[in-house]
Amino acid sequence: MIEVRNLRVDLPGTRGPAVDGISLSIAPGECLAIVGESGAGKSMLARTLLGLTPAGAAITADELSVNGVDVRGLGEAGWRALRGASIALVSQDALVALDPLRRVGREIAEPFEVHEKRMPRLERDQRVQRLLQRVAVPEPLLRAGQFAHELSGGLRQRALIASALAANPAILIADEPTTALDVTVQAQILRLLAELKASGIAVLLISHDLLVVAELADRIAVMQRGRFVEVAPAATLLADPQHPYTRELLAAAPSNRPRAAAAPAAPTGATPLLSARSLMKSYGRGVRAVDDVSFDLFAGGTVGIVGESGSGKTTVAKLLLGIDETDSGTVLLDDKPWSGVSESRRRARRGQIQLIHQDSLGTFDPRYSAQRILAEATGLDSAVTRAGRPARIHELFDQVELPRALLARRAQELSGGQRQRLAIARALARRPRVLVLDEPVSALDVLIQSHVLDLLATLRERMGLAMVFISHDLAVVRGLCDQVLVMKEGRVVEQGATETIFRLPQHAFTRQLLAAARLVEQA
Amino acid sequence: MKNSEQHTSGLRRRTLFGRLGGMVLVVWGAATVGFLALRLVPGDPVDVMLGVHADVSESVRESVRADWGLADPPIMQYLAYLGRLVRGDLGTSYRLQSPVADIIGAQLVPTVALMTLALAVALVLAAGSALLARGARSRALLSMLELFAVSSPTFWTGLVLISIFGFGLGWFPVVATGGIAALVLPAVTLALPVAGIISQVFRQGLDAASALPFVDTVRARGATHARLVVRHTLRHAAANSVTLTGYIVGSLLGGSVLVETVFARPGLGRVALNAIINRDIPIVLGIIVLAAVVFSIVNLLVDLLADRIDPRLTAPAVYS
Amino acid sequence: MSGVFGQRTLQRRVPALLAAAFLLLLVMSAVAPALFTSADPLQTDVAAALLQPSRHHPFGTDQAGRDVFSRVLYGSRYSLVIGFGATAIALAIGLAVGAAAASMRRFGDGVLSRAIEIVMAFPEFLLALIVIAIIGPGESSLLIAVAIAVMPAYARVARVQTLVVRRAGYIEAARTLGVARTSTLLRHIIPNTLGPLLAMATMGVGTAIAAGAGLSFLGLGPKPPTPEWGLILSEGRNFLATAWWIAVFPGLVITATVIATSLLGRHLQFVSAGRRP
Repeated sequence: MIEVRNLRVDLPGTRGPAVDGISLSIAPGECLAIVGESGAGKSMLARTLLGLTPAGAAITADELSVNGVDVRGLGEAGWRALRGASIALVSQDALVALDPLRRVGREIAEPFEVHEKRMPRLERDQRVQRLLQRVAVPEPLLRAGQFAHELSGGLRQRALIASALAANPAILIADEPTTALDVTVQAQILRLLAELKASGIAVLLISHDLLVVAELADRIAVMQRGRFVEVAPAATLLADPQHPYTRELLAAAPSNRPRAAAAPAAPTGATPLLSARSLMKSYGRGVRAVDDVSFDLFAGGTVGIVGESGSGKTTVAKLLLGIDETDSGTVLLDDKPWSGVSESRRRARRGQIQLIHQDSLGTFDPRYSAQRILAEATGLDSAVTRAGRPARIHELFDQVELPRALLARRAQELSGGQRQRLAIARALARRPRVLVLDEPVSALDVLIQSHVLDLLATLRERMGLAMVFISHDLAVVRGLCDQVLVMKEGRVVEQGATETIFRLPQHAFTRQLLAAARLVEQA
Repeated sequence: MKNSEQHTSGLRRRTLFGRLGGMVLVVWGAATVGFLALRLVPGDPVDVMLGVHADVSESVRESVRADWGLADPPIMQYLAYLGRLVRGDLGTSYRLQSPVADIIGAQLVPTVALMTLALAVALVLAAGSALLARGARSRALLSMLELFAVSSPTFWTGLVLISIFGFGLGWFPVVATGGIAALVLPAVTLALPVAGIISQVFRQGLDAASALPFVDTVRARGATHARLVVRHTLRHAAANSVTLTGYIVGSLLGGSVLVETVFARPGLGRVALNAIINRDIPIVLGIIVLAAVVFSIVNLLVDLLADRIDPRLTAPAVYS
Repeated sequence: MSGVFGQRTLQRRVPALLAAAFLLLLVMSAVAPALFTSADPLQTDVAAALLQPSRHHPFGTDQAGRDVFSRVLYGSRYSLVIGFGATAIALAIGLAVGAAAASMRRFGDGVLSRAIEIVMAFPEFLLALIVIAIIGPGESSLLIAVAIAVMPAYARVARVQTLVVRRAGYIEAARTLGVARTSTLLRHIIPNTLGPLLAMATMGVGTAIAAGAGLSFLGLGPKPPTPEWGLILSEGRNFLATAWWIAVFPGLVITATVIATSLLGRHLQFVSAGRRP
């Protein structure tokens, strides 16, 4: 279906080639997965196969054919005939990948409107319904008349796949097709793609996540800096990785990296550092965002809070930090009341509990350099004199392993990983005893993710920090936490020691989450 | 956060009925503010009416005052004024001694003709520039032209056009002759800044839409560039620009005062200007009310249009 | 990444630098016009009427033989007073109204922001005309009219900016960090609210100058023979057939001023958002 030999793509104004000497082939009914970090050139490779490289890109190859057509030097009209009809694209996040101003049905119909002769409206609508049925969207008639923002994430993604299938392409390029989705939905979409593969469509799956890919791919190619460093059948590659980079990627996969503290067994008689008692919080029309959440956290311990989006995890974080007031229930920090206290009394103790966000960019004043950000935080530390501030800032930068050359940069000039480190450094400046981490690594590439998690584990050990770790990613939680709360619609459905919950899940929802996670973990 | 989202979606989901109510409120507000402000103006309207013959006996003044209802308490005057407004009666000009509605009506045609032609010229210019400029160089040139068009004061542009095309080349008449040829230069003058603004906003909208992720999806379906623009990005750009409509109508209306003066054309602008200079209060009030009505209608249409173009505006906020 | 701080930055700063230089010259000519010309803007000389631009009269002379260049230079004083004065008044009132609306409860905010919305439906020039209609023509009326006309735009941005900044992640971060309320206000809220407003005000100076010149062109401001840009233009209108320079040069200066303030304002907008230009 796709034959590529020695493909090289150079983009104007960049130093090295974006795609460098790539060879690959995909047969009907086969799935080749390309895995690598962002910037590895995966998406540029996909765009090359669709003829959608940016203006000025120089493409050379010994062979480059799509569905039997030699596409080297193919003109725009030639490409248009291929796109949609021979090779189709499913990209990340259908909310923005479908035109938000057009009805889903019209979006799905577009490929065959482009490629086939005009058909009566009735026939078109029926065809759209059949496509929606094929991707298992319930109530296709209703859905076709809605807009992308009116559908749930999973349904949207299915609709996007339906639109890719509309003109019966032989090849599907799926570029991070599940990245924006909750884990249970992710598993469903992967299952759908597997069905399509079984029906004879060739699938080129692109992902940053080796484990997501493992379920679906027949072969996996690991891509780094524009090159394939390793290509092997999926099982072989996962079981016996040859290239150091593949091994590094695999090792970084959260489930393969236990970082749990050496059993900080709840010391009997010791008082917890942070204690939540029956926290309740509602917003607006009586919707319970948080409904009866309790736990104790001891020095050196880490409690994980897992759940899907909208389960109330972030609200718990806000209550713990005293940014939002509880409706009822109490939070004790260091055995002293923390909820229901006036802000001025809280401010004196705020240093003890600090927060790290998923996307810390918004938490930095856009006008401030890293240096100034840390200067503000260290200025609140009575143990640091004005003269001692620069030294303390350097110390913090070293602690989070940031090069000092970055001190003059503003947050928006840092990479995602560097930004998270800066956020951690700012939190550490207050010498906290508890860190609340709200999806701290979810926005990061897997290797960076792994490095930041390593850093957190190190800091926890060195400073005896206690952590509340909020995540949708069970594997990450399993590696880092000794205690887990599973949340659904504001309630804790299951709570206990990490290993117990992962080995013997009691609640159906926990089992469902684990099954979904394991589905993508199976190698 | 959640509360604020509900708040805005609530505001956006105003019903048609509510919007009509809002319209009436705006017109009433404008009429009231205008009335109050003009009553507070120092000076006796009788002086204005009598103009150069102000040196008349007190009894004459009294009779004028009685004729115009100026002796009544202000609240009665206000109510009478509102009552007349509802019946579409804008009152009678102090100075010209004829009904304001007639004066405005008589001058409406030349101004509307000027504004319509200017709008057409502006749209053609803007559409041309937004769709034609695709290369980096032509874009840079265009954005300079836009900046120049937006920044040049209308009255100056008009004078420059007159001296080039009127006196210099002799292509168009320099004064109002009533023919369509005499309308060209004024319309172009009025159109230039408007075209600059539309072109800027529309091109920004088109560029922003072209950078959205769905564009890749559409192109990956094999759609042509024309289809991409016509079926997809144009709509996004339009959603972005439609909110400008009110501003544009206002610019045309405000600009027509200057353009009519520059080209010595008859029209509403001239009427307004003379009324302002002569303190002919009924005419000023009539024009304020007319402007409020026009803006309310335009804004209502814009709101309805925006909702149709972008379904996300009427949708309840979705939060994940 | 490496290119971000290099030549490109410098290239992008060029328009803003030129704009700033032009505005500086303008301010200097307003403060001390005698530095640039020895001609008296009011000195008539019938013998030298309607002279073409030359070395002695860079912008030519008008119907009364007055030097147009010197009239434009002296006129900058009037225009800058209108431009900066009206903008400053509008900014101060707009900021107060916008911030007040943002901190009111739903009803008060609703009423105020609806009012702002309604007034904003009228473009500045039309609003200024209406204000003049109410308060009557004259030099100080002109300043007040322009200030009132441009005020709603500032109020709206001030309101939005206050709301946005108050909900910004860095304000919550300052709170969780334990930064005192006054420090947060001084270090984060005020600079981040004011930044975009000042950028807007920079652009607004140009708009205000153009609106002021437009009003005096209509004869609603100062009286002849005051050297004022709009007034010079209006007088030049009668001599277009024979002496184009009387009207063209002051207009060119107005245009250049508006362009300069726009460019400088855009630049400040970038900087205030924390981006490097």
